[in-house]
Amino acid sequence: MKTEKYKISNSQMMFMSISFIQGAHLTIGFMSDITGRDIWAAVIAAFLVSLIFISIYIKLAQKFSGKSLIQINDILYPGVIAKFISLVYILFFFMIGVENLVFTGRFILSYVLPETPLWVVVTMVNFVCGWAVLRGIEVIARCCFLFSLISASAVLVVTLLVAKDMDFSNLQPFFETSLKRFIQGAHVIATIPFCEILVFLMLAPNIGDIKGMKKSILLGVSLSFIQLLVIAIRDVAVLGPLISIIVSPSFETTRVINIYQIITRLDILIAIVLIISMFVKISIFYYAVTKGLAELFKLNSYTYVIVPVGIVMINLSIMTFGSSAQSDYAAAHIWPSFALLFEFIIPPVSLIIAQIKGMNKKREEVG
Amino acid sequence: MFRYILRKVAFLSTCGKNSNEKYKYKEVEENRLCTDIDQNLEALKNILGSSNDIITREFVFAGEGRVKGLLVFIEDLVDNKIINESIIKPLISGTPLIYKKENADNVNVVKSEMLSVGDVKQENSMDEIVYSCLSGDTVLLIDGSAEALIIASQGGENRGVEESKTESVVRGPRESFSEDLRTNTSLLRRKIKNPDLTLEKMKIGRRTGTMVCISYIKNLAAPELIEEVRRRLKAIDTDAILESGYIEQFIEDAPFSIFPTVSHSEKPDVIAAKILEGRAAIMIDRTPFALTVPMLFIEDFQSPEDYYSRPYFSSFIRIIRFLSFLISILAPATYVALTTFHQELIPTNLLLTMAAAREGTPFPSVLEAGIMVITFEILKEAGIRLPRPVGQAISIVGALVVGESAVSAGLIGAPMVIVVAITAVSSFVVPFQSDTGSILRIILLGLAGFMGAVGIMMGLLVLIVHLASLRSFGAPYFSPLAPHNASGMKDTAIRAPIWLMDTRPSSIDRDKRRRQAAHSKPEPPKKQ
Amino acid sequence: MGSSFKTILKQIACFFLILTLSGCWNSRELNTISIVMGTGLDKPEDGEGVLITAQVVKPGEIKASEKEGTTGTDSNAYWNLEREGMSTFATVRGFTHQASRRLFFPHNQVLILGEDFAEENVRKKIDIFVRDPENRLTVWVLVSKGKAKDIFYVKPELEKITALSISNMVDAYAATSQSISVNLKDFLTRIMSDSTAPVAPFIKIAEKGGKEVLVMEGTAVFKKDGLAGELDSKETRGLMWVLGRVKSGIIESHFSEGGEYVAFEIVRASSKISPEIKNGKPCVKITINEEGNVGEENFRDGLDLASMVKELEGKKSEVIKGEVMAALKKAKELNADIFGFGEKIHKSYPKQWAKLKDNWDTVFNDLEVEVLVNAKLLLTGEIKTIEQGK
Repeated sequence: MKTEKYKISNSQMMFMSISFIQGAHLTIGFMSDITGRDIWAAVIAAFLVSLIFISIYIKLAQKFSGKSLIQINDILYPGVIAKFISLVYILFFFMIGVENLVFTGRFILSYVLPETPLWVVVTMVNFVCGWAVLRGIEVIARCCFLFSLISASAVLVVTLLVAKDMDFSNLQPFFETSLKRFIQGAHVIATIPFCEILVFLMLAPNIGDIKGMKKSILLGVSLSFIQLLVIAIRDVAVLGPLISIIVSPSFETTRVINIYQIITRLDILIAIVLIISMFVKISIFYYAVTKGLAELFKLNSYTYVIVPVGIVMINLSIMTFGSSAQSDYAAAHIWPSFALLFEFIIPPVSLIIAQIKGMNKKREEVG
Repeated sequence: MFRYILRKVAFLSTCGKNSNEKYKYKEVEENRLCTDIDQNLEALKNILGSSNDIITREFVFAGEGRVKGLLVFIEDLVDNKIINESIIKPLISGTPLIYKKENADNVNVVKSEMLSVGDVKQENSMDEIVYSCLSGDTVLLIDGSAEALIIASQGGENRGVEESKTESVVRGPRESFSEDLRTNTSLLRRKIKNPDLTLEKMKIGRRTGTMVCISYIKNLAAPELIEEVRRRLKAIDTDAILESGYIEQFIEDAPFSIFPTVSHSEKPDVIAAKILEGRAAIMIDRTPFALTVPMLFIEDFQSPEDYYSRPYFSSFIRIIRFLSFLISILAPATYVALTTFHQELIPTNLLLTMAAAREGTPFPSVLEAGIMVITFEILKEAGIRLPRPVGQAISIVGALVVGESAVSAGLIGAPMVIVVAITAVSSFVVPFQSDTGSILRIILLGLAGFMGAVGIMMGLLVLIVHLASLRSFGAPYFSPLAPHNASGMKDTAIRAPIWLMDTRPSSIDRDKRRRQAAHSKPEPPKKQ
Repeated sequence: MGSSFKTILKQIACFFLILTLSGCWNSRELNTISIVMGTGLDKPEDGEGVLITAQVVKPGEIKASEKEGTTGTDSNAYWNLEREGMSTFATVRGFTHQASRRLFFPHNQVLILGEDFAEENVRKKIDIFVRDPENRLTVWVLVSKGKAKDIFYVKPELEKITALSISNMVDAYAATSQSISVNLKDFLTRIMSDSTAPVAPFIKIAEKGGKEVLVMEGTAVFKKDGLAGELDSKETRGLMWVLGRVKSGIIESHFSEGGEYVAFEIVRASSKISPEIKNGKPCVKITINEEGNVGEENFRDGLDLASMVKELEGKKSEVIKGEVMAALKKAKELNADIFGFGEKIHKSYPKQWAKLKDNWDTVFNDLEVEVLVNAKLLLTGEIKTIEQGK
C-alpha cells in the first residue's frame, strides 16, 4: 500500500554478514588440505587481516554514504576507466556467484543426490536464488535472521554431539606447516569468505543507517569468525590427520555422530543447513551483479536482467569446471591471487584517491 | 492452452481495477420528498414494489387538525412492540400537538414531544428512506412536510449471543459474536469502555447494502492505517457482501498468496485485544466473523487462552503449536524423502522395520502418501459438511477402511498410515492455518518426491522468502521473525508474562508506546 | 495486478516444469534396495583380486518371523552374496548381476577382513570404503581368523542378522575390555600415521555344543598396512589400559596359596602417556589411574577388608601393570607401535621427531617405558567380612 522504501536495518545487516560468511562452512574443505591441522590458526590470521580490509570497505561506503560501488567508481575515476573498473567488478562478483553455485551443486551431487545431473540441481538452486533476488535485497536481509539462527544452532548441536569424539591432542603439534603454506591458507580464508563481504558495497543504497553500519558488520563478521573457528577446531579434533584427505571435513564430522545408534547420520540435515547459507551468499552476489548491470547501463530496474544473468550463471556453472577436484584446486590456488586485486588492492587505492580528492576540495573551499 | 488460461485470468484480474470507471452506477438524480403525502406514498410504493411484507399504515394525528400521517415499515424486520407502544400510541392517542398540516414545525414537534423512541432521525432523501426501511427502521411521513422521520425500530428474530463454536477455550470468556452487527458492537463496547473506541459505519454492496463497521481506538491505531482501511473499503464496488470473506478478498494485500493477510475471529475478547494493540477491526452485519488488519503470520499461533493462563504453560503450548504446524506441512514430505532418497538417515533398526512394512506394497511412496493425504482431506471435508451423527459414521468408516483394511490388504504400508495420522492431528492444532497447511503439504510432498530433502529445502526457502516479502496493511507479515525484532519475540515462540510485555507489537504500533506502567511486576509487600 | 499474477503463474509453472522435467534420478523405494549389513573381504583361492561377501537383509523374513513368533528357524533373514573381482569397486557394483536389487551400503555395520586378505596393502584395497560417500567412517573393522565369508554364515542366536549381532558384540566389548573396538576412522587414522600401528579385533568361529558361534578374542596388529601379529586377551587389555579405553571389566588377582582370589570390578579408568626426551633419547611414562570395587572373594577365613585396602590396591596395580607389560613386550616383539607413542612424541617434540621419524622402528624397540599404576578401591560390596564358624 505504501510506497515507503524499507531499508536494511543495522541488526539485519549484522545477521546478513553472519549468514554471508556462514556460507564458508561448506567451502572450508579446500582450505584444510593446505594448512592441515593448523587451519584454526590460519582462520585467526585471516580474520585479523580481513578486519583491516573490511574497515577500508566500510570507510569507503561511509565516505560516499548511500552510493553503490559502481557509483563510487564513477565519482573517483575518470569516464571510461570508471566504467571499465565497474564492469570488471561486476564480472568478479559474477564469477564468485558462479563458483558458489558450482560448490553448492557439486556438494548436493556428491552427498545428497549423486545420480542427478548437475544442471538440474544448479537450475533449481539458481531459480530459488533468482526468485529471492526478484523480491529484493531487503527481503533477503530480513530472512537472514532466521537463516543465521538455523546455521548457528546446527553448528552448536553438531559440536555438542561430537563432543565425545573430540580429541584436542589432534591439534598438536602446533605450526607444523611451513610458513609459505600457512600464508597461503590464511590468504585463501581471508579472500574467500571474509573479504568477499566487499560485495556489501553494492547494497549501500539499501542500507538504512550508513553510520551505524560499521559496528553491525564488524560484529557480524566477528561472530561468524568465532563460528568458523569452532568449526575448524572441532573438525581437526574429531578427524585428526584425516582432515587433510577429506573433501568436506565439516560434513564428514557430522557423519561421525553416533549417540545410542539413534541420533546418528545427521549429515543430510547438515547438508540442508549448508545449502541455506549458500543460498544467502549466492543471492547476494546475484543481486550485486544484476544491480551493478542496471546501474552501469542505466536501466530503470534491475529486475530486467535477473533472468539473463541467471541463465548465464547456470550455463557457466555447468561448463567452468569438469570435476569437483578442479573447482577445489581453482578455489584454493588460482582464485585467491585473482581476488587479491579486487579485494586488497583496488579498495585501498579508491580510498586514497577519495581522501586526496576530499582534501583538494576542502582546500579549494578554504582558499 | 496455457497461454489462453493466462490471458483469461489476466483479463479477470484487470476487471477489478477498471470497474470503478467503467461500471460505476449512473448517479440517480437525488430523489427527494415533497410536501404532499399522497405523492410521497406513491413514490415510495413505486420503489418498494408490491411485496406483501411492506406495511404502509395511514393514520390521523390526535387533535383537531386531523393531519394525516403515514408509517412505512417492513413487518418482519421491526419490533412490533415499539411500533405499537412507542410510535402509534403516542401519535394517535397522545396529547394532541399537531394542529395544522401547514405548520413547518410539525416534524420537530413529533420528534421531540411525541415519539418515545430513542433513535429518531430527520431525512428527506428517498434513497436513505428506502434503505432505512429495508434495514428495519420505521419511516414516518407527515402530511405537509418534506421531511420524514426515521425511527429505529429494528427487531425481529436474531440468534442470541452463544458460545463460540470455532474457537473454544477452557479459560476465558465464552461469548462470541452473533450475526447482528448491533449486538456485536455492543459486545465490543462492553469490553472497552473508552470514548476513544471509534465505530465508523459504512454501507457496502449495491444490492445487499451490508452495513460494515470499522472499529479502532482513536489514539492507538495509526491514522494512515485507518485511512487505508477506509480507502480500500470504499473502493469495493460489488453487488453483494454476504460474509466477511467477501470483504477480506477485496481488501487483502496479496490476493495470490496462499497465506491470508487479513485475520478473522468471532470472539469479542480477541477482537478487543487486537484493536487494543493498534489494529483496526472490520465488523460486518449478518456474520459473526469480524476481520482485523494488519495481520501478522504469528497471530494464527496465538490463542486468546495463551494470555489467560500462566506463561510457562502458554510458552510450552506455543512451541507445540509451531512444531505441529511444521509437522503438519512437513511430515508426509519428510517421510517420502527419507524412504525414497535418504535411507541412510534412518536408524538401522527402524529402517529394517520400515523395509519390512514396505515389502510388497504396490505404489511408489510419493503416490502412496499422496493418496493418503487426499483421502484424509476427503474424510475431513465429509466430516464437516455432513450432519453430526452421520459425520461420526463417516469417520469410523474412514478410519476402518483406510487405516485398517488398506494396511492388512497390503495396499499401503503401516508407517505411512501413522505418518498421515500424525499429520492430520497436528493440522488441527493451528486451526487458522489448516487450509494453508493442506496446500503446502501437497506441494512439499511433490517436491520431496522429486528431489528429496533438497526439494523440501528449496520449497521451504521459497516459502520463507515469500513470507518475508508479504505485507499486510503496511506491516511486515512475517515479523517479528523476518524482519526480526527483539520486543516482538516476547510474544512469539515464548509468551512472556503479561507484566513484561510493555510495548505493543512494534510492527503495528510503530511509535512503540508503553501500554502499562514500567514496573508492573507483582511483588509481595516487603517485610520491615 | 494482472502482470504480477502473470509473473507468479509463470514462476510456478517454471518451477514445476523444472521439477517434472528433471524427474527423479535418485529416488529408490525401500523395496528396490537391498540393505547391506556387513561386508567381508577375502583373498580368492586363486590368488589375485578380491572376494567380497556382502550380507544383505531380507525384509520379508524379518516381518514373517515377527508374525509367526520364533518358529521361522528354517529361513534366514539374511542372504550372503559373494563375488570375485579385481578392483573392490567393480566387484561391489557387480553384485547387481546376482541380486535383483541395488546394494545399499550406508547401513553397513561391519567390515571384516579375512586373515589372508589383511596380510598386505590393506590401505589400497579398502580405499572405496572411504572414498564413496555411501560408506561411513563409523563402520567397525574386524579381522577374521580364516575366511571372512564364513563368519557371515554363522546363524546368530539372539539377533536375526549375523552382521548386526557382530556389531552389537563390538559394542558390548566394554563389559570385559578384553577386546578392542575399532572403527574405520580410527583404523585409517592409524594407517595414515607415520609410526602408529593399526589394530583391529579378531573374530573367529568356535564350536560349542555342536553349534557354531562367533567369538571375539584377541587383537590383530598391523605393521604399516599388513597383518603382523596378534595380541591375546590379556595383552589386549594391556593395550586398552594404555589407550585409556578400559570402561569396565573384572580384574582377578590370585593369592598364591589355596587358589584364593579376589575379583575386582573396574568402575572407571584413565591413562596418561607423557613422552620425554632425556639426553636425546626418548622415553615414555604411562600413568594409569583405576578405580574399582570388590566384586567377589573366596578366602576361607574371609577377608579383613578394612586392614587390607592398601594390600588389595597393590595387588590390583600389579595385575594391571602385568597386563600392560605383556602388551608392551608383544608390541616390541612385533616391532609395532600400537600405543601411538610415536604420535605422542611427535605432538610434544615436533622438532626432535623429525630426526626420530625415519628410524622409529629401532627406537621403539629399545624405548624406555615406565608404567605407573594408581589403583583405588571404592566399595567393598554389600557384605561385611564373613567370619567362618560364627
